[in-house]
Amino acid sequence: MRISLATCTRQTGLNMYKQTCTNLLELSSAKVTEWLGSFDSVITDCDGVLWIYGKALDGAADVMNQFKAMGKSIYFCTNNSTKTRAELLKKGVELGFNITESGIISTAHATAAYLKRRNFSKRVFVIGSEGITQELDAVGIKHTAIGPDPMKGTLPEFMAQHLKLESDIGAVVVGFDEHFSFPKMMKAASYLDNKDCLFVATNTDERFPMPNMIVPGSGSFVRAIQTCAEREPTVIGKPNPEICESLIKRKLINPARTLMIGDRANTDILLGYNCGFQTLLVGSGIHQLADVEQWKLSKNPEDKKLIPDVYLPKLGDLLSGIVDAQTGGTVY
Amino acid sequence: MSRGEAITLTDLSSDQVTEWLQSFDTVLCDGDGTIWQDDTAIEGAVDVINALQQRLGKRVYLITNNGLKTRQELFERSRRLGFQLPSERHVISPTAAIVDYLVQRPEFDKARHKVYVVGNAAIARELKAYGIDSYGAGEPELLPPGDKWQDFVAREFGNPETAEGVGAVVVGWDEYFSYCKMARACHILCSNPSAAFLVTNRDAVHKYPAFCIPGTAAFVAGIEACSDRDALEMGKPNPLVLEPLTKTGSLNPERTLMIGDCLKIDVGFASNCGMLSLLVGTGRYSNLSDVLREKDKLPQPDVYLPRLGDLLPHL
Repeated sequence: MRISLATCTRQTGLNMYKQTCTNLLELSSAKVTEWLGSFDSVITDCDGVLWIYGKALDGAADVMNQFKAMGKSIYFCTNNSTKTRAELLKKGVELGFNITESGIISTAHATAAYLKRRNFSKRVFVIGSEGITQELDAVGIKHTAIGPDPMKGTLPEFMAQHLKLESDIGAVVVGFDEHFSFPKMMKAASYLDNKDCLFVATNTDERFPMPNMIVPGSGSFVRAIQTCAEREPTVIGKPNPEICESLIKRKLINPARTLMIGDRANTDILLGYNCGFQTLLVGSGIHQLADVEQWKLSKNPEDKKLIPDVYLPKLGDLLSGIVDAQTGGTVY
Repeated sequence: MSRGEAITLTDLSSDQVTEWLQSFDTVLCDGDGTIWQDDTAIEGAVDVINALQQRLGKRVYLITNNGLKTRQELFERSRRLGFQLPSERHVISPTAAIVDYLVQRPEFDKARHKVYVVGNAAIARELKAYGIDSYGAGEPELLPPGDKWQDFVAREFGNPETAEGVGAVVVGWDEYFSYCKMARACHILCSNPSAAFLVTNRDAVHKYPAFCIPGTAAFVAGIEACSDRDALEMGKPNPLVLEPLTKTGSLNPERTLMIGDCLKIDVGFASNCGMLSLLVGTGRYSNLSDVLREKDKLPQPDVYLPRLGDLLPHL
């Protein structure tokens, strides 16, 4: 009896399409079925893959829910630090996704977890939003207030009358902050001058995913702080593999049989590479096939890590392939 | 004389010093820590600079990274302290370099274009002195109370007029730096690929015992990250700032001496431009051993003096 390639895949963990950016739409129904059988867990990015801002992308919920129905475990993994897991859950459910809170991996949550694991007992200076502070509150870690901190007076006046540096700050956490300001930069740089003070960045995405506009993301604020602090931060979010470490350690996922789906190669696909996952790039967000072509031609070995195994224009395009797999072939 | 040997000039014989003095026709001199500290001249500096010009016939230029004053204001300070530079054209500073650059840039038309400034008012004053219109300098821009960032970007960047006619974004030291300014600068740079993107200089931070003051490099880094564009540095050690002089033949780098107090900025500049270098110990470094300690990391000067005034007996 011929052993099917799918069985081989299961046994050896062989990734047939590794870093080839194979377009799933160009594969036969049989091959897509085979590919669908090669992973048991799915970790997916959110912005640009499942939804854009407030609107679900066509077919995305159907595909994710079908994965779940097929018995695959589902995780949403977002670098967006402005929302708590509870808020992300609410958004996902409202947009039609069949997801539970334990299936959500968010940088705000992971940042609080990171500090908790280190038995952090001081106060955190936060440059960020409620997403972060609520997650810190949930694990009992003290922090400074977020919100506006505008410059008052000239620099000498500010320093003489308004600048207050607290003595119990043990970490500076930087995420997305619409109230980013010079006073916050000055405080962060001053706290970080102490080598014992931790420097944590929720993520380094330079731009916040927005449909028609280029606007600053956490990564831009982090870059400003790391420049005046003259220090590199510990980055919690993708592509740092630590964000999935707990899932791997607790054997909730098997990396070779885990699929990472994303729209941004230098966070999502690179995370997949770093963790030994299979990877799927969708073209409904940041990076496109043209970008992959550049990386294929590049001499820089770092660029090769950005090339996905497989590609789809959008996640919803997989629906017919899933239906075929479940019904055993195209129904005429 | 070998280059980069950090020889103390006063250890040399009179003949050797004379030979060294004859190896350059032009002198570029740093400001803070070399010839003055803010509004006070460093002892002996005035006499040396004036003697270099008047007794030895050298052409002297002041070259500073101080982005908080215009060329004219720096020239007036030099006069006030007794330095006899011939005119304000003998002052090279970031605001001056910015204007010199925009004026010769084909894509920039001061009749049609204005400049968005994330920085202090001196940049606006310098631009205005050369007939260039600007906005934003020295002013705060905060999210209106009750607005979220999404409201701000929808309103401001949804309107095509926001980026229209803006031919350059200039970043300088800005105590009013904010999210709104960062977002606005990025929007303009991404909407207008041919707009110039300039920064006065790239000081990262100014450290004091009890606090650290962010430098201009930190502001521009945030904007560079989001816009995915690199700003042109309009100060030392970028050799670009010397172009107005080298292009017109006013200066030959091989016969030019750069005097400064900072290895990274001043000696680095000399090295980048192929000039001779003299480091003085009245600013960043206070003795030669501290200079030599940086041998593996930072460029070393050709010659060293504890202070510029020590040169006077040889002039």
